[in-house]
Amino acid sequence: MNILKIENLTVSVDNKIILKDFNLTIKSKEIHVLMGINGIGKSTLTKVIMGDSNYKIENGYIYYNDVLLNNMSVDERSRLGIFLGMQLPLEIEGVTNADFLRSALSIREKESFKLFDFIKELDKNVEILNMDKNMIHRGINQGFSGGERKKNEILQMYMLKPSLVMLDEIDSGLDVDSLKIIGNAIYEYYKKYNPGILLITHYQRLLDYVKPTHVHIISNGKIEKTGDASLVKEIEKNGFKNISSKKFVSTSECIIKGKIKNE
Amino acid sequence: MNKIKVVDDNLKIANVNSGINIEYYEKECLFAINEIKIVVTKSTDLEIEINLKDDTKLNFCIDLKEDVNLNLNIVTKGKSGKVQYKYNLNRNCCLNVFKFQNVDIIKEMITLNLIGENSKIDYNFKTISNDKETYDYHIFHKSKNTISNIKNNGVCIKDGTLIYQVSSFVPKEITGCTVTQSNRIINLTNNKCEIRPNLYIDTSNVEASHSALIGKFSDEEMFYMQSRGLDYKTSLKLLITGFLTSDINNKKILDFITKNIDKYWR
Repeated sequence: MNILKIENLTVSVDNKIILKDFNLTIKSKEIHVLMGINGIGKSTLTKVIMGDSNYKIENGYIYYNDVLLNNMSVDERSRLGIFLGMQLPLEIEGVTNADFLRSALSIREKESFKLFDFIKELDKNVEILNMDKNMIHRGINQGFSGGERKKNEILQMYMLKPSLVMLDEIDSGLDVDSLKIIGNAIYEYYKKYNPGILLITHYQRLLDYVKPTHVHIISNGKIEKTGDASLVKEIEKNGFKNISSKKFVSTSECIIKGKIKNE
Repeated sequence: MNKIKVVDDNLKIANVNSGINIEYYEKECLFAINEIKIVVTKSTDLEIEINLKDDTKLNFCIDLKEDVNLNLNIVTKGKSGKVQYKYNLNRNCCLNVFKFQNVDIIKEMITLNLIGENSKIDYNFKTISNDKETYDYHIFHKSKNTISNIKNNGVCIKDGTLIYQVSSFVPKEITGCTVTQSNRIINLTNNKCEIRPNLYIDTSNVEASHSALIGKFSDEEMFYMQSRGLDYKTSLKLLITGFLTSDINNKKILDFITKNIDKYWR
């Protein structure tokens, strides 16, 4: 059983508080969905868990399997089994997808890394995701459409086999067929490897394929409400404003003055 | 593959088939410079390997006759020198240059003359600078509908400094030209690097663009690489490899680049 535990996490960027006293626990086999209005701090949470240095942890702790992540480097976190599928995957000139993944896997697997097995598995996963085989020999996301980039993120997930998967708006920019392929691929991965999953999405459509166990609404830097899959339908029907009695405030409105104090 | 090998300022090997004529002019007085003149009359590939000694001085003059395509691969290594290249492209010529060098100190002057209509040059240059490197380009569009794409990528390390001065000229009445410059330096030192991109265009019917960038790899790129488990050192090496090998498809040059990257980033 793998457990991500976030305790009283307060995060700032450029002296603006994004998350405040945020708490969340995700265990293996659980699928958590994080929803909320734009700019509320959903992506921030995934970036902080992954260790992006642009975000400052002012207070609180992030543990993965009782290991404190706060001061751990990004690559160490990744090698612990944490994966972030990004909302806007970068284009990196000249570094081919194949070289990138081969390097990432050979660092993880060290002497047990076998090139032939790697190629075989990569080919198989490319087929599952209905990707063009030539793409793996092109620069990372170089000339890829939005949908192809998202598929590439899922391909990386399949190759790296993380035990905690965070997917930030993986459904944005996808056509109906691609959404189906990606949705099914995430669910197949879930069934096979039982990871803990944190999904950020604005829509129900991805959740037709990946059934959530927990749905959270984030507001004012923390989780405002938690429910089951029915909460997503309620949001789609009524919007965020009618779900909570409290006013939803975008993080950009929360300006930190001086040092943050623990409440 | 046609091949020319130059050691210091001497032409050592010239294995060329029909379609390429080579004339070698040895200096006749102390202050003169040896010149290698290459005339290309048929579409072909050519490989030039240069090994600089101490303060080698050398001139190349490369003429492409009408309707000729040349794929030119240049590898330069060694110590220090001043090298001058002059390319003359006649009507309907196409020149593709792929060039990599790893030398200590070098000053290069590159003159590209697009003499004939519809002539085109794609110039792809990569370098790792660990001392002092200066490149001065003059690209003259002398006929209508000529195209120049200049792409310079350099990585600056150790005591390296790097200067790209790239000047493109399109005079009046020379219409329908495309002029592109892309100059990037990844500066991994605190030393000063410079890019001076100049477009001197006296006509309105032209497509022109230039980009110049000096800096390190972005935080976002490093984050993306590291988020897949690659440590900082491996991420940097992969990014440098990508930066220096993109658009290069000649195996020999690729091997030489990789060997040099392995030398500096074990």
